Amino acid sequence: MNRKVKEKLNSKRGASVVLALFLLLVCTFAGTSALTAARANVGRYSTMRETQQDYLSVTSAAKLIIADLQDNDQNVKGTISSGSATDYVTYYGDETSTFYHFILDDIKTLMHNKAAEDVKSKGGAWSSFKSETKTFEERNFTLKIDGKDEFGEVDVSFKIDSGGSAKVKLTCGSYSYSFAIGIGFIKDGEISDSKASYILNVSGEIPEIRPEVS
Amino acid sequence: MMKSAKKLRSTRGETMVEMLVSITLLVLAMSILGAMLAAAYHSDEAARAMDQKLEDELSLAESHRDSDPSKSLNGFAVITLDGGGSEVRIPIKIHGEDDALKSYDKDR
Repeated sequence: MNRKVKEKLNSKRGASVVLALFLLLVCTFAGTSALTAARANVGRYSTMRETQQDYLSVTSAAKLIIADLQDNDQNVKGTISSGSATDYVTYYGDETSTFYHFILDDIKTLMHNKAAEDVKSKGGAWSSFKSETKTFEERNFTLKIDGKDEFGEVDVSFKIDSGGSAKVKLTCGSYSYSFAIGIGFIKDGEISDSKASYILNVSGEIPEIRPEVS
Repeated sequence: MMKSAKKLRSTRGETMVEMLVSITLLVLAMSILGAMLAAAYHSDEAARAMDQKLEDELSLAESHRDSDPSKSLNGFAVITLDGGGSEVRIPIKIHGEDDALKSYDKDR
């Protein structure tokens, strides 16, 4: 047996202090890990709260815009009897208190295009005033709740296309949400080869899904 | 072999001080572990409770209901055209408790 083993066997020094120190280290490490993981869950809460409020701000804004458009669409009426003017489409009510304030010009163009199609089908010759070349601008808005800072500012982009629908995109914080609105026209009386009357009809629903965090 | 047997029968051991230090360290280690696990457990419980509260608030706000309808607030959504400055104000009804998640819908 070599000398070192011999010394070890004769040694009075024990390993219990070393082992105890090692155990102390292991326990501290295990405890710290458990505590860090648990604390991280609590920290996540405030972030989750913010993103959920952003989600609610976006969906509330989306529902508000649809409700405002649908509640007031019967106020947009038009009787079109000439091939050039757009002034015959009128908002019957207080336009400045609805979203139509911003998009009425585009709707007038759509209504005229519709009239051009319908009158042409009745033998009229209005196809010339159909605005084939009209480019509908994307309009950007900011939606805020007056005096309520807990609702984040929502950025809204609204774009009508010539096919009779509108694409709406809303963004608040990390949430982004898009949906489509249908823009149709209900005949208001008979269409002749020289006159057409319509009432606006807006359709659209918010899909009942929670949007993804972008 | 003989040496090992002799070692096993030996009455020589660690000093009292070493043993006391070891025992103290062991007790300390167990205390630290216990305290940390208890704290972690309480944190986890708190996180679960907050998650549940958040879920309840979200459900209430999403459904546009109020636990006390008399406390629902009225307000205005202000939509401003970027760059143009023109704005519209649409009346709304705000749903949700104080210090809770909130939603709103059009006040009809």
